Order: sequence, then structure tokens, then C-alpha cells
Amino acid sequence: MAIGAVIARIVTQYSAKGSKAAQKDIAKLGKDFDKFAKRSAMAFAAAGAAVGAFTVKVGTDAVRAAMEDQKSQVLLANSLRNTVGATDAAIAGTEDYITVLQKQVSVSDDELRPALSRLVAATGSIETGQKLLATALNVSAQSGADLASSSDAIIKATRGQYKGLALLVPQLSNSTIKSKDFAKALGEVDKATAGAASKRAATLEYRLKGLNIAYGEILETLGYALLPVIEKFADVITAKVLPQLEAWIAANKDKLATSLDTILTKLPVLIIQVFDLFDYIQRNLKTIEVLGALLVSTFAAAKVYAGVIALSGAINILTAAFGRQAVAATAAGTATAFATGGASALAAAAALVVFTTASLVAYKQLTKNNKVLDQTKEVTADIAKDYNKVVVTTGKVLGNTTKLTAEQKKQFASQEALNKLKAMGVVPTSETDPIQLEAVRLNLLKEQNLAQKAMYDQLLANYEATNRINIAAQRYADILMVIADNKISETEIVLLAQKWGITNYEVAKYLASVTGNVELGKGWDAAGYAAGESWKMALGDLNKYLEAVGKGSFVAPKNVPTTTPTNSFSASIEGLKAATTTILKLQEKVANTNKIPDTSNITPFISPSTSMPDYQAYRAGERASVSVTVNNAGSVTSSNDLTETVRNGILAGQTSGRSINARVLDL
Amino acid sequence: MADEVIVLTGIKETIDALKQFDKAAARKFNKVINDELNRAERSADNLVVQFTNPVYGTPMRGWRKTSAARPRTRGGAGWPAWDVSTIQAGITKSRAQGKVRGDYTTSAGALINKSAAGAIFEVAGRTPGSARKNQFIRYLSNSFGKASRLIWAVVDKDKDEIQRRVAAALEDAKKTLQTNLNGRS
Repeated sequence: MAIGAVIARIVTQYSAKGSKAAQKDIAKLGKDFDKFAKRSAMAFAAAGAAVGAFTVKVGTDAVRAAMEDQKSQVLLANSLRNTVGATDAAIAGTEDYITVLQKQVSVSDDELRPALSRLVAATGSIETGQKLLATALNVSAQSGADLASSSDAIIKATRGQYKGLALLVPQLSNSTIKSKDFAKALGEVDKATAGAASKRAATLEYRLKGLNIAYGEILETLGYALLPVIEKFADVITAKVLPQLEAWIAANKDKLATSLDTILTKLPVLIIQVFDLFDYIQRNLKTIEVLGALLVSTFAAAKVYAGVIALSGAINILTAAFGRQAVAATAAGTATAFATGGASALAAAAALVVFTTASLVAYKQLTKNNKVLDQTKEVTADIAKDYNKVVVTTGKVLGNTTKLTAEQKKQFASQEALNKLKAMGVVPTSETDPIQLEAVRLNLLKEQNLAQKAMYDQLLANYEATNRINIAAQRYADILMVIADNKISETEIVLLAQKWGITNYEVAKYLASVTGNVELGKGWDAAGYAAGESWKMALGDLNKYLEAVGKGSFVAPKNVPTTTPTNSFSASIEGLKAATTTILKLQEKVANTNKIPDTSNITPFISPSTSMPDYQAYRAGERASVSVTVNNAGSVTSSNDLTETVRNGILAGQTSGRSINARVLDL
Repeated sequence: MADEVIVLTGIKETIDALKQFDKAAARKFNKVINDELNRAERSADNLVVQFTNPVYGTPMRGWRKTSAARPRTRGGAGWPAWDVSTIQAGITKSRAQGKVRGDYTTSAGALINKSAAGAIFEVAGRTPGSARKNQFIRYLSNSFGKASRLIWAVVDKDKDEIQRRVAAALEDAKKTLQTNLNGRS
């Protein structure tokens, strides 16, 4: 029997699980902060976006708690100022009151502040509001309703609406409600709910809630400490970094644009080579990453075009040298390259490529991400496309200078149509009229279509003929099988009709037409045919007679089948069927003459017969002496003749059926 | 059953720390808890004997003393027999920590009533309304009081005193631990 054990806990201890979770949250907060610091250092350009991300991230923990608490405080202070004109000292005192109260009753300040704010607004006094808040807390604890509902019920009661309060506090008397005496009602409510909030706070549930509130306060404290840091950081980003960045771009945008314009317009080959360069960089990232500083110096020293050419050779040389180089470039070296590249970009438009390349290498080392290079490659590809567009445009411009004349266009169209006709093996009548040529071509196409249609028709007819031949062959094979026994039965006719999908008469006609030696009325259908023919002959004679006597031809009476060939043939078929049936019955009777009769219809043996054969009389013959009558008739001429005569006499008289061996000597 | 629970903080941590600095103090503190639990266990064992009718050998005349030969009820095992020694053996103490289900508390010492007969005697009639309908429960309640008749009866009666003594021992242990820590620093 499975009965669970009964457990009675005597000593109960506090578990550190909750506090450990809180510690983890705080530790995580610190880690997130560290991560953000690193991220912001690396992703300097994206600092503005990172601020938002950081705020959201931290907002889930202490900062959010602090922000909400701050918001709650601000709202309460604003309400107090607006409603009762509270001073800063009064507001601070109210905050202290809230802080103490939340510890006493284990209700969070986020709930207390809105309730107090509404109560103060309703009564116009901080002191009264605080007193009513205490009452609302007791009502809330007593009734189980939340603090907001209790506060609202009290606020409505101050306006003479006691329904909500009466629901929460049933002890409120009807007389008090009817009198609408708020002071009296408040007294009754206080009396009924006195100490409820304190007692509730002493329960385990609310003590643990108090513990949570205490942890929340810790988080809020931490959050308040972090808020100025975040605000300061955000200020730095928005006030210093972003404006400088904008100013730099604003100051150099023309130079950048000019540089780009110069490069795009005067050095198109360079673009392609730069594209190749970045492609090469993409494929040799490791090499370039290590030798970044050297590359930058190579760029800075040369002209753009020459620098690119030199770089191409230099990369090959340095790539080969990479295997022999034991020393890798350091982050400091890359940073130097970054700085040098940036200065060069500001100093000379032609060094823009240097700056871009150096920046890419430096950024690659910072982010260790190939995406930037991919993007750069795409940008370069776009530039190359733009260059191609320029080339196309140039081609168009050049094309405009050599516009084709209308005559040339016509010649071109004619030549095109001629080429099509030549491909079809046709020489047109007029080689210069494209319309006519097109008409000829279309006509030819039409004729081709007609010829093709005729060919299709012929193929179809051929197919049908082949099909008919196949059917005929199949039918001929069937007929050969049917006439293998030199006769055609009605069953075979029916089977052939079913197989060929035609009527029995059509089968008969087909057999007659195919076999040649089978004629209707000469074989199995002779009776029907004879009947039909006799009817025709009789009808002919009748008509002759009627004509002779001047009565006209025979007219078949109504509702009587006329002597149309179809009806006549039907009668013949019926006669044929009847004759066939008769023949089959006769054949069956003859065939069954020598057969053992079917015993299935014989009445089975039921009981012994009452008239038993005379067995004793039957067996008496065996014991009696055999009397043999020999009638010689005067024809015995020898002893053998006599023996034979006697033997025959015995055989004629014996009834046992046994064989008799007679010898002359025995006689 | 007690309505409120006194939650002691730092029992496990104090014992773990004491084991590092003062094993004798740890043993002393453990002995206090064990003694209290043993005392409660003995009280529950005595209740089992006290509730057993000396004439019948069971709390009620119809309660079997041996398991049914051909059981047909209660899942095939039959109604559990009342055997004093089995029930007493089923009443044990435990210091295992239970799962923490969001209330931040766990057990540091408990009594367990494991035997089937003991568990039935302990909790029969606990479900509201069942006592009026069932003659067994009605008789049980009239004769031995309402549900919570063995270990819970002991806990309800002595829990406060036990907790007070354990709490005092814990405070002593903490002081000893603090003294040790101060001495090392």
C-alpha cells in the first residue's frame, strides 16, 4: 500500500537561494558594465547606439529600479507641490514617511506613493493623506484588496460614496452610511480594521515580501549610484563625441567629395586596381594584418597610382617575406597606422585610399570581423559599376555623333529579314522591301504550317489504318482459334462479340465476309436464313397475287412488325437461336447416352426395403443338382461337337455366373 | 498545527563555518539539534504506546494486528495492521533540507511518520467533511482527538520550546564562530 510519509518540520531555516539570486544579478550587472565598457571602447563610432543598448540592458536590473523609483518620487513630489503646495522639506519628510512605512507594513514604496498622492489630492492635506493612507493599508490588509482599491474606496467615501468602502468593510453600519458622516465612518472603519496591516506584515509571507523589498532597495541604491555615471557618459557622447564627429565630416566633406571625384574621373584604372587590391586584401588578410604598418607607410610615401602599383608588388614581396618574418605587427603599430592614415586623409585628397585601407586594417584588428572588408569590397564594386556606367554613357555619347540615317536603318532591317529568309532557303523577289519580305516570310511560315498539318493528317490516317489492320489481324487470329474445330458455336459467337465490342449479328457478318466459305443460311444460321427467305418469297408471291387481282401490295397492319430487313433478320436470328438450342440439347442427349447417370438428383437411401429378396430360395439352386438339357438337333458329328453342345447347355442353365471349364473326359 | 513558523537563519552556514574553525563547537551545536529531535521522536513513540489499547493491542477493537491474509482493499495490500514496533520504527527524525519552493525556507530538522498505519492514524479525518460521514474517523476523532495525532501533536506541543533551544544554541554557535574569526583576524 502506498501511503506517503507524514513530515512535520520542527526547525525551519532561511534559504540563501533568493539572496544568491540577487547576488548573481548584481554580479551580472557588473559584468555587463565591463562588457559595455569594452564594447564602447571598440565600437567608438557606434557609441550613440550603444548608449541606448546599454540603458536597456542595465535598465532590467538596478538602473531600471532606480529610474522607476526616481520617477515615482518625482510624480509624488509634483503632485504634492501642485495639490497642497508642499515645500521641499515637506516632500522630503513625506519620502522619509514612505520609507519607514514600507518597512513597517512590507508594502513597496511604488504602491504607497501613488496611493498617498491620490489621498493628498482628495483631502488637500499631507497630514490627512498620511492618516487615510494608514487606514487604507488596514482596509487593504483586512479585506484582501490591493492598496489602490482601498484608497479609491476611501477617496469616494470622502465624497459621500460609501458603496465601495462598505463592500471592503462590511462592519460599516447602514446608519453611518446614510448619515454620510465621513468622520464617523472613518472611526468605524479604523475600529474594524485597526492593526490589520501590522499583523499582516508580521506573517511569514509579508516578512518575506519585506525581504524582497529590502533587496529592491539595495538594487535601487545601486542604481542611483550608477545613474550619474550613465548620464555623464551619455552627456560626453552627445556633447563631445558626436559634435566633433559631425564637425569633422562637415569640415572635410568637400575634400572627400573632391578626392573621390578626382579618383573617379581621372583615374578609372586605379579603381579597378583598388578593387583588385581589396580583393587581394580579402584573400590575404592574415598577411596584411601582420604587415599593416608597413603597408600604410608604403601608401603614404607614394603617389596614389604609383602607390597602388608599388603596393601590388610590395604585397607580393612581403607575402613572400612573411614566411621569413618572425615578428608580427603589434596593436600599437596598427594604431599608429590608423592615426597616420587619418592625418593623411585630412592632408591630401589623393591619400584617401591610404586612409581607407589603413582604417580597414586597423578596424579589422579591432573588431576581428570580415564584414567591414566585405562591405568595403562591395562599395568598391559599386564604384567600379559607376565607372562602367560612365563608360557606357561615353559610348552612348559617341554613338550619338555617328547617328544612323533612316536609309541605313532600312538597309539594316532588310538585311536582317534577308538573313532570316536565307536561313530558310528562300530568295525573295524583292530584296529591298522589308514589308514584302516579311509578308513572304509569314506566307512561307503559313505554308509550312499547312504542309505540316497535312503531314499530321496523313500520319493520323496512317495510324488509324494501322490500327484497323491490327484489329483485323487480331480478329483473324480469334477466328482461326474459333474454327479450329471446323464449327462455330453460339457461345463462340457471343464470346467474340464481347471481345470485339460488337453485336452477335455483326460478328456473324464479319465471319461470313472474312472466311469466305461461311455463308449465311448455309451453316449454323441456315434455319433462320431459310425462315427469312421463305417469308420474303411468301411475301413476293402474296404481292404478285394481290397485283394480279388488282388489290395492290400487302400493307402490314398497325402494331405488327413490318417486313423491314432488320425485322426479318431478327426473326431469322430468333429462329437461329431456337434451332441452335435444339441442336445443343440433342447433342447433349447423345453425348450423355454412354455416361453414368448423374446421381445427384437420385433420392438417397432412407430405409431398408420391406420386400427382401428370397435369399434362401436363391441359394437353394447352388445346393440342388444341376439338370442339363442337351438338345443335339442331329448336328453332332464328333465328340468335340458333343462337348461343345453340352457346355453350351450348361452355360444356358447356370445361374451363378461362374466360368465353367468342361473337358471331354469329364463327361 | 502551528500557524506561524519561526525561520532561523544561518544554521547550515554556521555549522559549515564552525567545522572549519571549531569542530567541537560544531558538534555541540549539532548535538543540540539532534537531542531536540530525539526528544520529539521519543515523545511520538510514547504516544503510539499511549494510544494502543492494552486489551486489544490496537487503538480500536476492530483494527487488525496482523496484515490481512487475503486483502481486498486499499490497492490490494489490505488495511495496514497496527503494530506498535512497526509504527515506532516508522517515526524517524530527519535533518535533510527540502526543496525551496519560492518561500526562502527549508527544513533543518523534522519528524517523519513513515508507516502506513501510523500515517493513517496521524491524518485520518484531516480532509474537511470526511469525519461526519466515516464512522472510523468519527470514532478516531472522538477517542484520540482530531487529525495530527502523533508527530504533529508532538511538534505542535513542543515546537516553540524546541525552536527556542535551537535558536539559543545557534546564537551561541555564531558567537563562537565570531570569536574564532576575530581571533584569526
